[in-house]
Amino acid sequence: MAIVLLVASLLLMTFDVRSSSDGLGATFRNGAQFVAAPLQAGINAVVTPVVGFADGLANLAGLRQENERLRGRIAELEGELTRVAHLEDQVEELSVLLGLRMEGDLQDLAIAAEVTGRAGNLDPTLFVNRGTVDGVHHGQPVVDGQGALVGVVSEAGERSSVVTPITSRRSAAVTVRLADDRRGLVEGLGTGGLQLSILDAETPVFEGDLLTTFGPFGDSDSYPKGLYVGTVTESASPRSGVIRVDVEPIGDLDRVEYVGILPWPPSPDQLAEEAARTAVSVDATESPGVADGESAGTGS
Amino acid sequence: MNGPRVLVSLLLIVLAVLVQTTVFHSVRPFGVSPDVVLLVVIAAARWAKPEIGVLLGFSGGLALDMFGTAPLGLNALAFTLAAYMTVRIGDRFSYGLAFVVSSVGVVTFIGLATVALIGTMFGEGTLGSPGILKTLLLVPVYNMVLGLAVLPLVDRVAGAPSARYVGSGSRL
Repeated sequence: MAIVLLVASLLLMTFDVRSSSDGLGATFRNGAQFVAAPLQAGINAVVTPVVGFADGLANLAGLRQENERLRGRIAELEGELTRVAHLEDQVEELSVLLGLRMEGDLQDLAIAAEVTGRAGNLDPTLFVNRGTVDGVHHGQPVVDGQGALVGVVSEAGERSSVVTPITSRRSAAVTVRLADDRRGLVEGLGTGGLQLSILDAETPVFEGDLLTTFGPFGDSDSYPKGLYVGTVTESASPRSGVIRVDVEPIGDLDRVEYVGILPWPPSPDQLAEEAARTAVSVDATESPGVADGESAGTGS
Repeated sequence: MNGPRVLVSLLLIVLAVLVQTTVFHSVRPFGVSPDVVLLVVIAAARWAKPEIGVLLGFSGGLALDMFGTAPLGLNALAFTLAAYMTVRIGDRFSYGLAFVVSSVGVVTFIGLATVALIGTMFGEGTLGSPGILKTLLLVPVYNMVLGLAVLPLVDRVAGAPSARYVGSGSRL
């Protein structure tokens, strides 16, 4: 009996790995999610306040220190804010002119969701309490409160969804941009880690280098531009033109409680709407010149 | 193990899956949580016939597989193996508290190591991931501690005979 079940498990795994994302395995998982989601929500409603209270008590001393640290950080950031404000104005103006969709727009449109569960210690999969009725669809990027990329919606149920973290081997590689505009690929290493690969590298990467999503590139438009992905953990030089180095994700997958699901890639309707909006913006930018021309003509 | 007892064991496994994916999403000391499903499988398989024991292990693993993105059948395989081991040493669970607790730890470790090893063979990269050693060491310890409460609870709910330890006279 044990041997039969072991063989059955191996066959199931082989079948599931070889099947497409909407195969039998996905159907089973969607069914299980559909049945379990209300029960999980019920358990969470009871457990979360209790755990939160206990967690708060346990971390009281730590919270005081954290509070002090955050006060210092706020003062520091307020100083930087003034310097950054005028740069933001410039970027906004330029982005309207270029018709770019900015990260901030997407963050505003993001569907807020609560992380209601995770699969287990060796499976970093997350569950969130938003589904297709809330506008969530397969393939949408998921970010944490700081705008850092956490994962991608791998299965969307009616009222709950499954998020595959970027650290999972099952997650698709993310095309990233380095500080010097170089392009690289970031892949999940399993539970917790990421690896950056740069082909045709000529210059090294350095510890602490920030990686953000590259945005639409070639046939891939899986992620919008500018989402934080991670930081390089150690400096590395090219070997035979290739750099492979570990990356620490910015999103804290162990502690994330609330996430935003980005409406990306945009649907054809959204693209048409955006094109119309961009056209209006360009018209508005051009209209003062036209008016000037008209008045000049009138004057002559 | 009769029909109703099997049914109750299956219900407890389903409950354990729900608890694992909700309660232990937020309760994660040192970033790791106990493996309650595996613990309930061990608890239920102790007194089961070999066929029923491995079937409970398979069911528990498969139920957990439904809630993740790892290959369907990965946990089913590991839990079947863990249940088989439990069934093989089932008659020794009355040897004493130390034996029970250490058995839970060893079986949990082997179950997790199987998930990590087979998962890696199927492209999950689990063995190479950071923190794997911590997970493989801490989860058995958590299960050993939690087992002190869960094992008697499963015995009581499923109506299984509780162990009376030789020498100590204590029950678990």
